[in-house]
Amino acid sequence: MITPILKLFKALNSEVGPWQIAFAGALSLIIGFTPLWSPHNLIVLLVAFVFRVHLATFFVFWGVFSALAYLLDPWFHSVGMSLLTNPDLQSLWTGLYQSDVWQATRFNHSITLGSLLISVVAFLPAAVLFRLGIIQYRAYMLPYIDKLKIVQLLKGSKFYELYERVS
Amino acid sequence: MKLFRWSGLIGFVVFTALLSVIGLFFLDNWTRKAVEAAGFSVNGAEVNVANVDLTLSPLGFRFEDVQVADAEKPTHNVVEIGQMRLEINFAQLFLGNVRLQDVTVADVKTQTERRRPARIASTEDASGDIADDSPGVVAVQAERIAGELPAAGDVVDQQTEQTRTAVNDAKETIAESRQRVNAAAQNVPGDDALADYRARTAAIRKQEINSLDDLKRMRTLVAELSADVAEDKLAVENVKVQMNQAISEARKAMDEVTAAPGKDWAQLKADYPLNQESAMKVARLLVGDAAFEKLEQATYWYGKAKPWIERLAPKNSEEENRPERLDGEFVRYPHPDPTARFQLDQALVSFVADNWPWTMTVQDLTSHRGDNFIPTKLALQRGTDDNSALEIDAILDRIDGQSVDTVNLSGQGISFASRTIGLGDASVNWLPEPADMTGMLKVTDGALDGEVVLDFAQNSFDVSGNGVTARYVRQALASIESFDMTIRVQGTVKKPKLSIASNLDNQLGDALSDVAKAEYDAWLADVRAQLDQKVAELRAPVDEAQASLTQRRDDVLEQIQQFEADVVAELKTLEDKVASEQKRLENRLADEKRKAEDAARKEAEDKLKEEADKLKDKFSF
Repeated sequence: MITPILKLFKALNSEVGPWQIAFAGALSLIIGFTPLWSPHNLIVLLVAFVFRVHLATFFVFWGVFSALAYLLDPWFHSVGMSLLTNPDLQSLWTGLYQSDVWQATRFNHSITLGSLLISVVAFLPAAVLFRLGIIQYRAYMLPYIDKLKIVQLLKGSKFYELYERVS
Repeated sequence: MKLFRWSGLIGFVVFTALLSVIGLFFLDNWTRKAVEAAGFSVNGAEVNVANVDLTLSPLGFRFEDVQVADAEKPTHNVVEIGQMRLEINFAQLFLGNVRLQDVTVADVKTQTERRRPARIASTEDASGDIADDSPGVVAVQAERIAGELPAAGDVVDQQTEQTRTAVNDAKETIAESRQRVNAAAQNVPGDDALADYRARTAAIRKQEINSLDDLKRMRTLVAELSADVAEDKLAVENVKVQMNQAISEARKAMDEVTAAPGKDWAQLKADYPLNQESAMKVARLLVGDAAFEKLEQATYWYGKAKPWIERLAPKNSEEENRPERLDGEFVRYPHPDPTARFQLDQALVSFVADNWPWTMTVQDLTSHRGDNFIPTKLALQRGTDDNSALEIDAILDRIDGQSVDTVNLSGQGISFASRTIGLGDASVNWLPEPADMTGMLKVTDGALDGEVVLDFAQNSFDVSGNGVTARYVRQALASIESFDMTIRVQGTVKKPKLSIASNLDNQLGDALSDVAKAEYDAWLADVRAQLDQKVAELRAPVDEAQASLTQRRDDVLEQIQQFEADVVAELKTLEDKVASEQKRLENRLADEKRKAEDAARKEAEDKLKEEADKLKDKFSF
């Protein structure tokens, strides 16, 4: 687990494109928030592998968002239930329910629907926020951090050698 | 910067393909183990599958040599299936549902012996799910009508319980009474006491009474004797009361002994009546074991299959299954074809039995129990469509939360073997032409209700024998060509109750009932004679004890009479003597008193006269 984290820090501190890291974080939001064994996560994985997103960031934030999902599950459940039981949407859900394929997506599961909807809605804002955060970090935080004596000290340590060796 | 990472796409595809290949390679084995594990769980005994192959067209599996062990008889299989093809809806597998779109089963054998005994699951509730297969009435069927009634001697031995009890009670009561009489008899004055009384009376009698003192002394002796006699008389009265009570109790016990055979007789007649059950036995004899065995087999297999279907259902209704928080909740929507956890769209099972081809089809077998429940349809056919000997159609439905299974039966040309029936001194050989069968059974939550009608269109009866019974039966059967028999099925699946009604009864009615009654009456007479003999044997010691007790009482009474005759009468004589002596003395005293008074009076008169004479002399001066 230490390697992906080191890679994440290296990416943050290198010239890796901010969008690569940002989209990796946004994709991990979806796979982390929604129940793992949902068919749509196969698509998320496929996208993460096929597009040049930063995979180390994807895996690290997958764990972070999965842990966060435990706290947010009640909210996902209530959002999902309110949608699934909304009288105006009954015809839509009933129509989807007639298809085995749609049933296989588990759309009628409250947490799956609620978490997927929230993470999809949050996908672009999250990506933008990630990118802004990276740019701001590199512009303002990184020079300041580099000047810190503790960082200078760390750069002389074996830990930094390990960090440098991570490609 | 390049947008795509081709290496990632290739890696993903390769990984997925590898996973699929490995899955396909191991899927057969996984499926076999899953089926065996699930089968063990549902069946309660080992389920073995020799081989499983994944088939791509149609998408599903082919099973070979499936053995379903009998949970009650682990050395045998309930069913052994040679080959089974399953078409599966794999999309539903992603939802955790097993949906079998088509099942074809061939080469089915039942009750085959296993090479090794099967493992059995915990049998905690097995008894509740398994039909009662204890030896039925068929297994113990008697060979003849007369044979249905046990031997008179056996009945008498079994059916004299009340008499035996009464006799034993009477023996105890009489023994106790005898002890009481004996104990009481000791208080009756014996020979020594009588001799003593006699000596005392003789002594009293010898005494002379010449004075009041003598009388007083005698009276004292008589009073003492009287007191002793009174004490003994009191004891004698007490003895009489004790004896009367003892005799009364013994008499009551004897009354019970007298009444007990009547009670035994009434019980015997109640236990061996000439009733519907007897008619059932006759009907079983007439139709033979085959029909009843088929019915019992049908209920057996129904009882076997029903728990499987019940166990398919979720523990709680899917709609009512409220998961815990964080598990989320599945919301169900109306669906014309609600796929359940387990669903079998259609199945075809074909096998050969009784030298007939059999086919069974199943449609819409589902674990779903909620709204839009689709009834399961079962059809069993003996023969082919153009030559069908038996058809059984069943609909397993749920109505108002109850399991309601309806079974319709229809059969043509069902063969029954020729039967020879003994009716008293007659022997009837019945040669039936093949019969038709119709019937309907309804099973509501395990409760059976329905009837099966067998129509015997053509029959011939050959009656042999020379007795009265043979003559009656021959006359009655001569006019009978066709009859039908209705088998009424009630009770529960686990314990079905069959009852028989037939218009043969109406046709044979009087003749057979006369015969049966004659047989029954003859049997009853035989039993009665043996019962009387048995009762006499049982009573003999009690009667002897009672007679002995009575004799003992008479002896004691005689002793009492002797006491009363000797002592009491003698005492009376003595008392009379005392009274007469007293009177005599009183009379004598009265005479003496009167004489003394007369003498005194005369002396006073004389003295007075003398004094008068003296005064007269003085006045003569």
